Amino acid sequence: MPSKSEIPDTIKPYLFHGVEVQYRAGEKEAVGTCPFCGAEGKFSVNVATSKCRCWVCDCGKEKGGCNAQSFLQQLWTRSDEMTATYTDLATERRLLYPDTLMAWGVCKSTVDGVWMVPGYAADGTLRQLYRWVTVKGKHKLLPTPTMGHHLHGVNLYSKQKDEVFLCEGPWDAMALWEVLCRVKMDSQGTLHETASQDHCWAATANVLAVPGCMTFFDSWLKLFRGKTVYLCYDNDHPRMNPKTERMEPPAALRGLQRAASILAHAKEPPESISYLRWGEAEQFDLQRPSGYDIRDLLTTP
Amino acid sequence: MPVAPLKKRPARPLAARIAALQALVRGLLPVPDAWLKTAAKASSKNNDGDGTDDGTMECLPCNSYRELIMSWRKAMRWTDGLDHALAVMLASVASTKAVGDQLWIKVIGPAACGKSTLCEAISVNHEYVLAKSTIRGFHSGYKLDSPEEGGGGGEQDHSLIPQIRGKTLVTKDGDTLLQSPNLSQILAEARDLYDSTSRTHYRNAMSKDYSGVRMTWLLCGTSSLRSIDSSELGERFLDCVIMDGIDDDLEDEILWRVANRADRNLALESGTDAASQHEPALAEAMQLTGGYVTFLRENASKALAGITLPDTGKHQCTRLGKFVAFMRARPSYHQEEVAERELAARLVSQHVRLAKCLAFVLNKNEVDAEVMRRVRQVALDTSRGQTLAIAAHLHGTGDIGLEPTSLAHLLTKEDSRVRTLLRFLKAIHVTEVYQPKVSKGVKGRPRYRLTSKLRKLFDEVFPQSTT
Repeated sequence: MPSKSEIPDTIKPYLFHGVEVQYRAGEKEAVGTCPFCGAEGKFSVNVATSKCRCWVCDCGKEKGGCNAQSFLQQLWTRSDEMTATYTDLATERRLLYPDTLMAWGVCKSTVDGVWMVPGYAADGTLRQLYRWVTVKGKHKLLPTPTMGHHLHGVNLYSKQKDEVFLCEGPWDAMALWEVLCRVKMDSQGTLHETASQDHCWAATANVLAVPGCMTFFDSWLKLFRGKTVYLCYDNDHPRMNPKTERMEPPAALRGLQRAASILAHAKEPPESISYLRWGEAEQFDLQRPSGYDIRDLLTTP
Repeated sequence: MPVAPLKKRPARPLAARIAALQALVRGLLPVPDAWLKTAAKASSKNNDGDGTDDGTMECLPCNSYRELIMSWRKAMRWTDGLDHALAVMLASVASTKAVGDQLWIKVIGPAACGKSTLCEAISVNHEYVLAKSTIRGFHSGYKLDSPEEGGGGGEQDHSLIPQIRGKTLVTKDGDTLLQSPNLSQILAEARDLYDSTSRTHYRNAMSKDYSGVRMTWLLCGTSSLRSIDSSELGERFLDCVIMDGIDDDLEDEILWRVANRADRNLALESGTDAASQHEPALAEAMQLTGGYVTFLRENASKALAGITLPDTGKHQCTRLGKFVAFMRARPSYHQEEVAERELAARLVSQHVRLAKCLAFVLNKNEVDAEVMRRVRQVALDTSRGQTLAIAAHLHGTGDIGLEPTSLAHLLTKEDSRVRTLLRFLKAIHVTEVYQPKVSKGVKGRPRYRLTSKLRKLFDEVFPQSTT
């Protein structure tokens, strides 16, 4: 059994998603059970190229073969089709409507039943599948190894909409999005409930989410070109660095500053950039707990 | 990984959420101008005559080694050798202001193995790092004739020393330095500067004394840099080897990534700023490295004081220092009167400093096994060469030893060269000669073997290779 560090990067995406392939050092192919048809010993991953193929259901037979990214797309497509009920996760995540999860592409893996949240490139192609798992007692969204971080919510993005809300994490974005879909603003700036999809705030506003507050790539800039951007990051408190024994600025504030700076200095910058200030005078509010976010604000009394 | 268990929670009604959203909208404010100035500064010109270039990259804040390495993993095929080299280079940077023997590092690797990328990344930080590809020397006796020429009547200091005071000098291509006609002078001046003082006098009546010059030097290049060792000027440096040889599989993997990157990069247009000369992930990794340098330098004094080095670690450093002192000793080119090696005191001091600084770089509170593994690796990298090769072969044969001819054959070296080295090693008590008994009253040809103290030291440094 090879140790974790000995496993080649090329087969890590498959193992991460629970595909049972056996890797032996020196062999060209890692062979195992097909995650789609269940044929034992018929699914192989090429260690050098990361391309996979099932010799029974012909997954990967198409032109160019099935690489790790195509595998994620196929896994998501099949899992999305097979996911029947979202109620449990919607309740746990304190969302109002299970359909919100469906709209954001959340689905249950057909391989092992773990909830997955897709991440997209700026052009809307699915590039990442985050798995919703428990690590050391905490719920976490873990990215597929070697596939990088990608944005959430790009599948719902429309160029025609003038505003973009950028949240920290997909759950915040979903909680905000489902309310924006059912609310409109009058001329005085007061919000009212509406059932009209054409007049709701979401008709003019996109909601996107970065996977973490410090993650922001240049390749995402085109989604914010000429838009009114609202950066809605968490209420992180400053923390003491045990090493230096100095107070350090909150991670969310540093992430905000970084994203705002990148956006403002883009070749084609947004029309305006605003941010969510939690406190009276500062970005964070010490009265609220550290890590308090939009979802907490919207969903807890 | 366990599936996240789902808890039932009561849902807050839509009306209450809309009210909360109203409060949220009130909190949306335009971002302060101060946030945007940071990047504006990065794109502005920085040509203030101090020799820095126009297109500078801005450092990004970073205080975690893990975060830094994650960004490098995104940017390039991150090998253990690169990780080791970056950590050692950062340890050298962190040690700059600490009192004691300075940590000067030679980073050695084959061409195109990533040395220059690491150097450029560290050089993103202009506050604590000075990057110079070529230097003509550390001192300058240059004197302008009159104040009108802007020199203040010969009072302006044109030496490199004021610029590198308190900084890390990064020379990304040390091989070109080897071609410099001034090499001996540069190394001699560097040797003088090592103990933080330097005094010169020139024939144009200029004289300059410097004291308290703390600087570290990262000298990168191919194996040719080892020639500095044999010039008897190189013993200020510790060595760090990025890649031993070229591993075929690893090379294929790297080449595949490089081909893909080259393919992708054709679609990216570079601008005038330094950041746009690299692909975004690499630029970010370099900027974070620059930021991490700031973190290390700003917190070094306090953090290094809090890092504990257990007695076992100290003992290991003394053994490693002594081992390096023996293994990098060479016969003198300049005299044949006395064979001598350096005293290991400086090396021990450097290894202890390296251990603590590495622990700081790796965000550890004490020097643990992982840190000592890296320190040992540096010691072995520094020890490499003919002496170590001879010692390793002799150690392998134990008490029996080897004849010089056999050793020359094993090392694929000339017999005379090996005999010279063996005589030198005998003089510094690394080897000893004995004549084995072939039969009663008949002795065989003389053989060399390691002295018992060297064998013991060898066993301490290579515990698994005890014969």
